Amino acid sequence: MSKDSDRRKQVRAIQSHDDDSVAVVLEDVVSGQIVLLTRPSGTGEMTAREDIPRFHKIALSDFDDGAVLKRHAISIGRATTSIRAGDLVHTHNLVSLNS
Amino acid sequence: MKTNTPNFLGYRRAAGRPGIRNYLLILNLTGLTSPSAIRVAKDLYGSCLVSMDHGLAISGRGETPVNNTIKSLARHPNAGAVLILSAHQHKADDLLASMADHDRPVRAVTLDQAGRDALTFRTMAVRAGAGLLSEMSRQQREPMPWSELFLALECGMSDPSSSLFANPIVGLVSDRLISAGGATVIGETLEWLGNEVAFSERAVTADIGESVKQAVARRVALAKESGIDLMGNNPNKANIAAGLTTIEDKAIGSVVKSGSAPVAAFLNYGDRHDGPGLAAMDGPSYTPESLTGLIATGAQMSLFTSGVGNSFAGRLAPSLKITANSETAERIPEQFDFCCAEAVTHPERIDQVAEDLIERICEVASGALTFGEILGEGDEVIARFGETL
Repeated sequence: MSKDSDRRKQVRAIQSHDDDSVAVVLEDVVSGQIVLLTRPSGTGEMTAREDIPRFHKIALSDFDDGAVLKRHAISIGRATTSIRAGDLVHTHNLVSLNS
Repeated sequence: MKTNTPNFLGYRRAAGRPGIRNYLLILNLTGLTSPSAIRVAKDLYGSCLVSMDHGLAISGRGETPVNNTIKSLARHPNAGAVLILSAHQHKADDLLASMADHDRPVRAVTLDQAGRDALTFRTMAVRAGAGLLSEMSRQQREPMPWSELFLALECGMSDPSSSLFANPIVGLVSDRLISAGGATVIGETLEWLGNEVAFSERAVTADIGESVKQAVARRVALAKESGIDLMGNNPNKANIAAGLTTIEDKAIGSVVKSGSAPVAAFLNYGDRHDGPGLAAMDGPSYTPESLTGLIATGAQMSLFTSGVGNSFAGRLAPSLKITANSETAERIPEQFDFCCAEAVTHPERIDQVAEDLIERICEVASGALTFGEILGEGDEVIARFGETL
């Protein structure tokens, strides 16, 4: 029951640049919750595919294994598996370009 | 009255940028005279003491940057006049020679002149300083456009509110000031690590871009010599738990203070930045040394963001303390001069918040005191470069 009420709450995320691959969520997000995106060109909405902890990253579109992801218009790493829009992006699916 | 172009009231100088404060800069060059210099500064209202406590202990690779820093500080726009204190006449003479273009009143008092007697030395210094203060304090502030400002950008004790809100707002202000013809400077070289390629690509020349990358590589190598592997455990466990995934991801939070302007100059520690545009200064992340290096470039004020709280401030140039963390701002009301927590709950208002910060900057430039000044939390610490022999 509480999961359903969590899902109905709106949570926000910051997308720094319009071309970014990810946004940073400002609160804990539960799977299925709608995320309100603030981006330079205005606002948007998307649905989280899994739980995303506060200040972690949510994928804004699908990416192939090996794709380079950007945040704040800067390349932040390479996908180590295919990623779907709404997925959590973190150490389990993203590595540094230096590695 | 609010006009379209932000403006402030500043002190016009004979050369270079205007000052936002009008201090008698007491520049103490030797550790031997440090205790006396502190007493002299206490006896002179309106003075600002910058003390090079390591004096003659500096040798080798530290000599050039330290001497450059002292020469740069001696020309700082916030100084209406300079009183040089030194145990040794020759050190004072070297500095006087570098100021020979007489762009401001300067006097030197040394232990040599005082017959090696500290009591005589202090009296001579207070007399000299009093004369300088009486004359320089006659100068009045005049209206100036904010494009005559040069802001240092610093962060310390950061948290996600810094990297997601406070630092980007500083970046917006930096971009606007530079568009208007002003200047900003960013240091803390190791905070560029992870973004040094992207940062270097913003350089206006290939040389500047190379210098940016080499500055990072040099400090990474220096750290390795001390047994610190900066590339290894980075981001560390705490960073990862906080949501930072890769070293590139982590670096964004700090570099974002520099906005999107091209990097117009590369500075070594102690160099000045007299022109417009964004400068990148190779400096330590350790706040006291970082701020002093940034101030030596000629910045009249620093914008200093913090997430959890950081009481330290610049002394010769005030620090305008900024936080986006509303809990921190409520817990420490007498530390922050600007709270941008509104941008957290209302991100669509970010442009207005940046405009509000610009207004606050102009207030402080015009004489409004920062908490760092009110509470005496300011200091200047010149970087050290090696062990004393």
